[in-house]
Amino acid sequence: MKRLLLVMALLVAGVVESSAQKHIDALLNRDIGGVQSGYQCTKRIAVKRDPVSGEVVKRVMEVVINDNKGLAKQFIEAFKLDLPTSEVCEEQQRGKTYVATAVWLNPKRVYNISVTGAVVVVNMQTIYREEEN
Amino acid sequence: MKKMILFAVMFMATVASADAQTRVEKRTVGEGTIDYMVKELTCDNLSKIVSNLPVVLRLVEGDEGHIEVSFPMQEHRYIRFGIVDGNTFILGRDGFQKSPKKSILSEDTPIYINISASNIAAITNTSDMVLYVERDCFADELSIGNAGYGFFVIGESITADKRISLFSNGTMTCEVESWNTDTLSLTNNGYLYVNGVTSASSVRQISTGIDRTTLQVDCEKVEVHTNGEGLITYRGWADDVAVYSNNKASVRTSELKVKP
Repeated sequence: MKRLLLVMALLVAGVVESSAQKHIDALLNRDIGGVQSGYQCTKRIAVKRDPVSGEVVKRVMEVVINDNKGLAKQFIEAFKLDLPTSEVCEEQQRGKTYVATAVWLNPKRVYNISVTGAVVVVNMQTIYREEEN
Repeated sequence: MKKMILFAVMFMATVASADAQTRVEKRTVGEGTIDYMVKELTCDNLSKIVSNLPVVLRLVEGDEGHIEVSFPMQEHRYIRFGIVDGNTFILGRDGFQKSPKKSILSEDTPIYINISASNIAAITNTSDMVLYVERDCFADELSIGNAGYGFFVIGESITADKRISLFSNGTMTCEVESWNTDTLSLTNNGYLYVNGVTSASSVRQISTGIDRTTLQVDCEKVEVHTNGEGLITYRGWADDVAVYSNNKASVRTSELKVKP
């Protein structure tokens, strides 16, 4: 019975974890392009590995979008929807500028967004293992 | 002036190769036949091929440095080819002759070239070319350039240990199943179709033209810079993915995964 409860708890935790940033991730992970009136977009994804074991210790994603107000609004909405599920969050709106940081744990995920008018900068880090200094 | 010198060199090269074997063959074109003149020449250190005329080029097995050129008999006054700099095969119009009033050179009646060489480092087309890679044997660094209106590259695999670079300012279609190299570089200002699998640890694609790219990768880095249009799809494995785009081209990298 205990085992079953543990499995159930893990399952629920897994579902909660995977859906915690679903609105943001849906925007971040979608393929870009195919737009008639183009806007500049930069997307970088990289992983850092343990040099000895080769295991992934950190995953970083950065998305920069220029000149797309619609997408900027969508990102703000996605952050507002997902922030309540985060462990730590900070949100600021000053005029045309929206800045937010959210942190989820296990694994540690740090999401930063900065929107100024039609310019969006999103930075995401998933830290699987803290590195020693 | 440069052109004159180039063609003078080519003319001399042709004269120098005049002792090469020559024969005439009949080729079927449509419902008729055309006399083709066949010339053979050799180059011990062939590494570059430049063509300014419609050509079907086959890289074939055979004696090292053997080149066989077949061209329509009636064009022989206007065509010049030969070896320059000891390592470059050049094919073009004779700069001293007026162009024929009615040239029959076309993609239906092209010049046929068979080359057997194991150290080809550069192939450049400024006209219309079909390149059949039947012998996958190149230098460590290979560059294939196209400024022509039609360039087909057909083969099972292309192997150049260090780098393969494709440049297209015209229309270039590559039906190659496997690109075996360390660095694959695709640069396109025209139309570029590339598919297949690559073993490259680094893939870099730069485009202001129209792309149709589908590549299966297993690499460290994929980098795409596009201000053009079309569809660019990368699948497989990559630790580092960078896309810089104006969003007119569809760039699909969501099927790329990080190696466990």
